[in-house]
Formats: sequence, structure tokens, C-alpha cells
Amino acid sequence: MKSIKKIDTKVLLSTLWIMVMINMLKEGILSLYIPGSAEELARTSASTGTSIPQLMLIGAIMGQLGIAMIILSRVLKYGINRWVNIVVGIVTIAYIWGGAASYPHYIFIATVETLCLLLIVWFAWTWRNVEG
Amino acid sequence: MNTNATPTKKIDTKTLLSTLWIVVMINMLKADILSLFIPGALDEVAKTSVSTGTPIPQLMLGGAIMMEISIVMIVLSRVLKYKVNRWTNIITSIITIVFVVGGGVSYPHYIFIATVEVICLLSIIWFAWKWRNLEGQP
Repeated sequence: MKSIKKIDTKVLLSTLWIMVMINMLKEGILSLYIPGSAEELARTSASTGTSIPQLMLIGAIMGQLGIAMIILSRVLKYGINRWVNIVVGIVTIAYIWGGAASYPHYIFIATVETLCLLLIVWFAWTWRNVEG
Repeated sequence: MNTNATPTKKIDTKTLLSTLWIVVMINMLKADILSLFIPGALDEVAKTSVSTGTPIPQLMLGGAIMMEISIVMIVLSRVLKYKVNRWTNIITSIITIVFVVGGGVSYPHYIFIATVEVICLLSIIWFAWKWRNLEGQP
């Protein structure tokens, strides 16, 4: 058998999380360039009764989940690593669509993010610990 | 001679290319964010919108699609097979250089960051070009 070096699942998961996070940052930045996006945020603040700094805190905490996964995917042990990836992957999908804006770039980027996150869930799900 | 020294392992080309794409992407994000702090940057976008007859949300969609080419390379550099990996890296780097230079604005921070990005992208082309598949990896 030829020695085919397959990519380590931990490296693959971590790299997919980097891709998700850079997409999220890009999406946030592009929204800022659209006139009226700040008013949109003020409306969300009014309708949910949450001040804008509090909304930003929620965004920071949700974002932190994905950011932490870049490191955690590489360092957590097999059993817990799989489950954390599956759970955080699903939570992040829910967050992306729950907070969805109707801008075309948002829909496009959210779709790419969702594909990446489904891949993360899939690779974590089918990951078998062959090396013990 | 210190035989306990950790052997210096040369970096895997796939890892190197993926990491260079991460550097390019973080630079792009930083350039966009810094632009937002400059008064008049939004009017600049509005002017582009008028001159091209494209509404701003569509312009942002265009930006998102262009950016996605580079973002996806972070993962593709690691997973694509040798041959297609090389060519994809070379082609997307050239497209990205055209995008960075073509969409250039005259702010000093943009010129500085664009220069760093172009150097990274030229390095990607260089490493992909001279990449030899010594281990017979797929």
C-alpha cells in the first residue's frame, strides 16, 4: 500500500473554523459599508429591549465560541473534541440564521459558513480514532 | 553535538500555503476596518455605486464573492491533491493580486497593506510553482 498521508482530522477541523471566522468578520465589515445598517441595529436594539452595547456583548460571546474552536479542535482529546465540534457547529448555524440580515452579501456568506459548519459536524461525526 | 535537539522538520508546503492565505485574509480584513475609520470612506463607496450604477448592497455582494475565493484557499491548500493544488494556488493568487491592485484606494494604509498582501501572494505563487512532490503524495 502506498503511504498516502491523509490530513489529520484535528488540523482539518481547526482550518475549517478559521474559514468560518474569517467569513464572519468579512460579513460584519461589509455590513458596516451599507448605509442604514446602523439604524437596522438600533431597531433590533429597540425591538428586543437590549441596549446596543449588550447586543455587541452577545455577538462577542457567540463569536468567541467559533474563535475558541480554532485552538480547541487542535488540543482537545478525541472523545470530547468530537462532541464539542458537533455542538458548537450546530449552535453557530442557529446563531447565523437566527441573526440573519436580508442583505445579499449576508445570505451569500451565511450559506458558505453553513456549508463549512455542516462539514465540521460531518467530519467530527464520522471521525474514528484509528490511532488510539 | 547535541543529539537531543529536536530535528528541524521542513514545513509542509500545504501548511505553508494555507498559512500564507490566512495572512493575506487577515490583512484584507484589517484594511477594510481601517478604511471605515477614515471620514469620507462611505461617501467613496457611494460614489462608486453611482458611477457603476450598482446599488451598494450588490457591490458588497461582489466584494463577498471575490473575498470568498481567497478564504476558501485556506482550506483548499490543505486538502486538494498535489497537482490541482498547485494550479489552484497559482491562478487564485493572480486573480487576488488583480483584485487588490485594481480595487486599490489611495489611502496610505491601503497601499501599505496591499504591498504586504502582494508580497504574500507572490510568495504563494513562488512556493506553488517550485513545489516538487517528493513524497509522491496524492
